Amino acid sequence: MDTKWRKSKAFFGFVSFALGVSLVLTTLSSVWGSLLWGNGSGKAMLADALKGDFRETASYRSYLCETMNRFIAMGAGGPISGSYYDYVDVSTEETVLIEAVAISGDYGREEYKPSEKAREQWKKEAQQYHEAIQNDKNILYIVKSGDEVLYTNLDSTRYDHANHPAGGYSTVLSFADGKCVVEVAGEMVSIYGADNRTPYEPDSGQWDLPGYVNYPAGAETQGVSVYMAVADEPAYYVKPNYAADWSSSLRYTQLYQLKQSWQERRRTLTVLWPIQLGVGLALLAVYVLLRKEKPLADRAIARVTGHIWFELKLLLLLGALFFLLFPRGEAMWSVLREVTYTVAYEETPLYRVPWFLPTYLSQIAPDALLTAFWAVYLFVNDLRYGDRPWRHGICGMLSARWLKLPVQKRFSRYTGAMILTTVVFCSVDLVLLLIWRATGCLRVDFAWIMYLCPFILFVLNGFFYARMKGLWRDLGALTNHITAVREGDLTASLPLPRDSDLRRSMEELHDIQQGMKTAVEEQTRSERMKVDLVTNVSHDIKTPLTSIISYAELLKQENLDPPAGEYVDILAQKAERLRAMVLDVFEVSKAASGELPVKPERLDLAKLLRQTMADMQPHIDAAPVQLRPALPEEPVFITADGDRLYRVFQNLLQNALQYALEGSRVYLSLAVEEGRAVVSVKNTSKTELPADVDFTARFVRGDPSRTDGGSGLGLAIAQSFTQACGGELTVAPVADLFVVTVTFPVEDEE
Amino acid sequence: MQEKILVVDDDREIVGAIALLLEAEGYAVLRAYNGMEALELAVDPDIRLILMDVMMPKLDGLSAVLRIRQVRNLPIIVLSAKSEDTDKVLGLSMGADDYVAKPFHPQELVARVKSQLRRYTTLGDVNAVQGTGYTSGRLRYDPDNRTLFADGEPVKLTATEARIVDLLMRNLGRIFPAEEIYRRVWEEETGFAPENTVMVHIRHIREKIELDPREPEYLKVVWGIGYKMEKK
Repeated sequence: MDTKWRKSKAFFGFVSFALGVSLVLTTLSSVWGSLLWGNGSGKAMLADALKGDFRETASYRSYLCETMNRFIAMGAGGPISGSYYDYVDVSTEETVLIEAVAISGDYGREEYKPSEKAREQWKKEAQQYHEAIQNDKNILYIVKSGDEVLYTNLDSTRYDHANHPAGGYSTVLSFADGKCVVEVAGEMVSIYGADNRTPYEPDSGQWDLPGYVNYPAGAETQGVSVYMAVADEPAYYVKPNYAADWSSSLRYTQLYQLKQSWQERRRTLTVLWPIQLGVGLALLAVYVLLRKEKPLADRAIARVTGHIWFELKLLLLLGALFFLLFPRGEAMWSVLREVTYTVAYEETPLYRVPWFLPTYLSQIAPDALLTAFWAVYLFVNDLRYGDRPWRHGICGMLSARWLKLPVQKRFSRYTGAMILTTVVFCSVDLVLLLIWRATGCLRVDFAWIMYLCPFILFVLNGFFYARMKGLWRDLGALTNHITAVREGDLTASLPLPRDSDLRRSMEELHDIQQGMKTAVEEQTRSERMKVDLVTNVSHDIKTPLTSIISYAELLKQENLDPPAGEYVDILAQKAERLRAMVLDVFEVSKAASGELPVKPERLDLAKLLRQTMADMQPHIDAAPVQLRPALPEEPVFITADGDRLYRVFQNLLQNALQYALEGSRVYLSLAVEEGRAVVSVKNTSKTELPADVDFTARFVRGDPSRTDGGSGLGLAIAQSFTQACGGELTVAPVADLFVVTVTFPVEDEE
Repeated sequence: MQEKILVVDDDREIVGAIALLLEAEGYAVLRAYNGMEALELAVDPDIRLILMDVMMPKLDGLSAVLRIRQVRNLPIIVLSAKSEDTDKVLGLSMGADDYVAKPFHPQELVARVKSQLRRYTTLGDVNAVQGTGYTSGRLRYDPDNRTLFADGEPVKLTATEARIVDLLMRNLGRIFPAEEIYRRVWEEETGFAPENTVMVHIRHIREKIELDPREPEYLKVVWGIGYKMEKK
């Protein structure tokens, strides 16, 4: 239930993140693109869209000015659109319509005088234009030359600033005597400034109309007057021609369309984008709330993407980034041009970056940005949460560094090389085929075979690759299993699937493993039985021994006459030794079977040795040898059971004191070597030490014939206890020098 | 009047030996050879202490201890050939007051019997005295008079031993390194080989307070760390 809830949280977290990022990115890149579009005109368009009234927008004003200028040109008999050059006959490169060219002006400028033919042409065009727009009642106009009305779509020509057409025409522009008058909603607009001396500056938002000090109307406009009333609410005007072709009827809608597109832009800017951004940010907020669970989803995605070869992923990533770099055909070329120009002419290429960067950035399509973002996201996510994704791919196969076994590496490398070869051959093949097709050298009938071959090769390769991979994975598992069995892990289970080629070998290995397990269990059982036997026997011995000891004691109390008294003493002594032996046998058998309870704790080995010596001081003083300790002043901390360890060193010292040559010295030293505490006890043996004897084996003694003292278990007990505490005890006699070394791992200082 | 002790063991020779040892110390001994006999004899109100073997026919020692405990409050020492710690814990939890592993030293057994009897008879007031001083099992320390009692008997200590006992009894269970004992008892900085010096005194104290100085129950060495007085 809990994991289910976590999973759905992770899912929603990721979906919110994905949608939120996509929406925010789309919106931001749209805003960005609009802002940078068309070298500033995009900015003006956005500013227009922000304006509440269509009639205050720059596009509205420039449309009116353009129309007014055209009317003035119509009044003066000039061309209504285009330039002089449009009237040059390109084929003969002669001025067909223009004559008397190249009158040198003040600034060496060429001036043109139109020919009669041109004037006729322009007049015809003006008439056509007038006929085309006269049904557009969004703009009502009267164009006069002197008193003659040239063009109008009004019923009366008596309109002026005192008398406007009815029906919502509150914006009026007029031109007369080289000056323009603009009236908006009954109020005159001072377009030339208060003193009529304000100069015209382009891109300053002024009315683009003649009459400024630096922008006068020419002599050709003498006598021309224009009256132009603009509808407040532009409407749609259609004039179908049913006699000819109604479907391609003239639709007079320029102002209307201008307003429509302005409204569209305004809606986008004030409604669509805020909603997009708002929803995107809200989703991102949801993601922030659920962000703790999102890695779950990221991991799931990484698991899926983990199946794709690393090289393919890299290729897709680069493709997406390439898409981002060259967003649209036109922009791509402009950027390329800039780059080549920069490289060719500029000393420092970066110098021109600010110049083309806005163009470039404005052209990045939101979808390209999104694609690039998600490509990068998936790639990084794969690297972050995937299981070392670079291993999975052709390069990974060729490298094969993380595969443990040589056989696995070889498999992997061969396969990788095979696939790489196939890829290269197929690519070359396809490219050659395409070239042949393009140049037409290859007969089309056979082409499909040539196309199909690499494809089949590729598919087969993939199939073999999957098989090979399974094989080398299973081989690795099998080898690991062998290693595990060799190291004594008898419980490891079969890691191979049932249909594996190596299943049989694995099962046989499993049988060996089972056999070993049984043998070990058998051994453990027999060891246990031995311990039980020793326990029972020692128990059986203890009861009569109690009687022997007790009666010997009673006999002692009888104060027997000399020979008998001595015998009793011997009896008591031997009974005591028997008691010690029984206890030793019991302990050593327990320790050997691993049933000795130990209570490990942190202790100072140097102090333990000093305590042991202090405890044994009477023994040491009584022995006919000298003890030479060499213990460090500073503590040597190890982890061991103090009571057991005391028994170890007590036994070792007892042995040394007992078997050392009279008058010789016993050396006890402690040193730390390579992180291990090393205690050594050295003594010169009284008797010759037998070679090739394991002194730590049970009941082994330096001199087999020796009968006094010791059970022969001292070293065995010492070794068992040392091992139980996690240390090592070794006996290494050199000639007559008996050396016992006990080592423990040193604990780090806390 | 002689104090009566009930000795129970299925091995007649052991019973005989123990009886001889105890009679030599002046006790009267009743003999039983299995748990049932022990139950029958245990009703004798003059019995002051019971020595009970564990492994016996008819009724084993631990069951017998359980039954006797229901009707009588007297010290019971369990004898056993099993010397493992778990057996010891089991015996003590069944209601035994002490535990002696076979084969035992006769002197040790006698010492334990005496100790239990002293605590049971002369120290009927043991609970009354417990309020003052520091008590641990058989030991009680009176810090005002600087006197240590073992089984109610004052222990004769030398001045240095008394200071060591004072330090350890006041801090029952706490482990003292030899250096600290040396500093606090001798009131001077650690001299040469403090372990040896301290150990000599500890050995002497053990001989005075422990029933078996070779297997001390109270004054213990914590190997590799220090010394402590066991808290029981």
